Amino acid sequence: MHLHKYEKIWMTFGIGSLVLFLAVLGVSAFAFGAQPPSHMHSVDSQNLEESVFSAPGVEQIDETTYRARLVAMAFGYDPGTIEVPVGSTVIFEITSSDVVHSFAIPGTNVNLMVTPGHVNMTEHTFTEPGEYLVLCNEYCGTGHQHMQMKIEVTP
Amino acid sequence: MMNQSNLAFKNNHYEPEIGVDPRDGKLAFYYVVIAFSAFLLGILGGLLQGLSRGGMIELPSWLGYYQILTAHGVLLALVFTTYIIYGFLYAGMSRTHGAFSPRLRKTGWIGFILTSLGTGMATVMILANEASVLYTFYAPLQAHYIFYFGLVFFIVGTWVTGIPMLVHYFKWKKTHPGEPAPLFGFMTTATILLWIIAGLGVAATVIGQMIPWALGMTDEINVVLSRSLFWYFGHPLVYFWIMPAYMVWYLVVPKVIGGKLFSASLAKLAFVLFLLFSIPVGFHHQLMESGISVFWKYVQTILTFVVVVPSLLTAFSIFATFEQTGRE
Repeated sequence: MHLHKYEKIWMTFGIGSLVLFLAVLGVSAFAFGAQPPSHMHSVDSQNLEESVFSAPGVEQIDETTYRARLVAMAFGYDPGTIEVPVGSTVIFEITSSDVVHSFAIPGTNVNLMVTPGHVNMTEHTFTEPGEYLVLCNEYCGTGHQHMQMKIEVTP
Repeated sequence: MMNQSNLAFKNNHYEPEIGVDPRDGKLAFYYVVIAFSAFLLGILGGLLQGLSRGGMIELPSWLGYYQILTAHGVLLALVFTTYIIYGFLYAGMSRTHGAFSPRLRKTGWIGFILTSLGTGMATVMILANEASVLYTFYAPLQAHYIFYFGLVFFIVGTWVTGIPMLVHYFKWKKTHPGEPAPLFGFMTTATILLWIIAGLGVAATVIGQMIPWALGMTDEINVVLSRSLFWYFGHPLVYFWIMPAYMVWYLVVPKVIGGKLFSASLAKLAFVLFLLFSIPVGFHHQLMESGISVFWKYVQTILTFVVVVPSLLTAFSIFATFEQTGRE
């Protein structure tokens, strides 16, 4: 197959840019840990009361670290409000008791899908006090637009 | 200027100069009619949705916001696109490869009827508010089982109409040994193959998971698996929309400007790459979810970006065609 000289230059430049882009992406993901939420634990979504999600809520792990186990459901989260002091790092562990939901805190990097049968995980350090709104951004039924919870970050 | 373009037309003569056989044109026409009917109904849904979201109107109590959102998505993203593409491919195959044989044309009609039956079933269920699950219909949101049967008829019907187009192309090659086959047929073949391979994913989740579950035969459904199968279909779906548009750029644009295609072999390469790299890319629609490891997400992200290569080939080819024609 004959390639015109200009086409060779064009394709070399284009494919070279692609390789560079994907290399940067790979290095940031695997060397610097910039990875999307991809937790691999599963859970029986029809028997959550017999799992670690039997009493959803916040527990303190060490001085500044908290674990928030949350259950997403149509159309809300359990619990509907959590409270942590400013400066804490919160490890979110979330599952769904019914359909596919999401968990997004606008203005932060927290945004993940919540699928029934799986536990998804992310963490975030709250450096500013205030009330943070959490929204579901995956259509989950007729009341989807009402699905939200609050995180109170106390000074 | 006129003289020059007429000259260029004469140099570009390997496409047989025949029209669309009226019997084939009829089927293509019906595809286009349904496409635009779905388009009108779909944009009406979009308009109502926008006005309601913007607070300008209040929807009547019997009409749900997510119901019209579903109608809008299914009618525009699935029905309009598939019908207009099939009308275009079917008419184009008749135009470039000669009339279909009566047997092939009959198969085409059977597929059209199956697809339309499926479209009707799904549309009625959506309009009856029995399937307000958006066009992604993620389980375990559940629609009426007739909606899922409609999806199966839709997909299988398109496969049935796809087969005569593939057979028509290979028959032409067999009866014209040594002649370069019209590019339209090569590109149609790649597009139909892509559609059939992609459809396997959605057919698997609908037939294997959703129908037994919607009928109450099973009470559980593997949600992440069904999402992966959906996106195995859902991403190639957009290549299925792009490829006919590329066919217009590669084949129609040179004719309109009175020039000829820069390189047929590069055009073929672009279509082969689209076909190959449409398969392992669906995970990039599931980057934010659990149950799929970061390694596989990265692998499929790389394979997704390979689509840059056929796109660059196409961009070069289009501008080279313009430049070449301008210099003649």
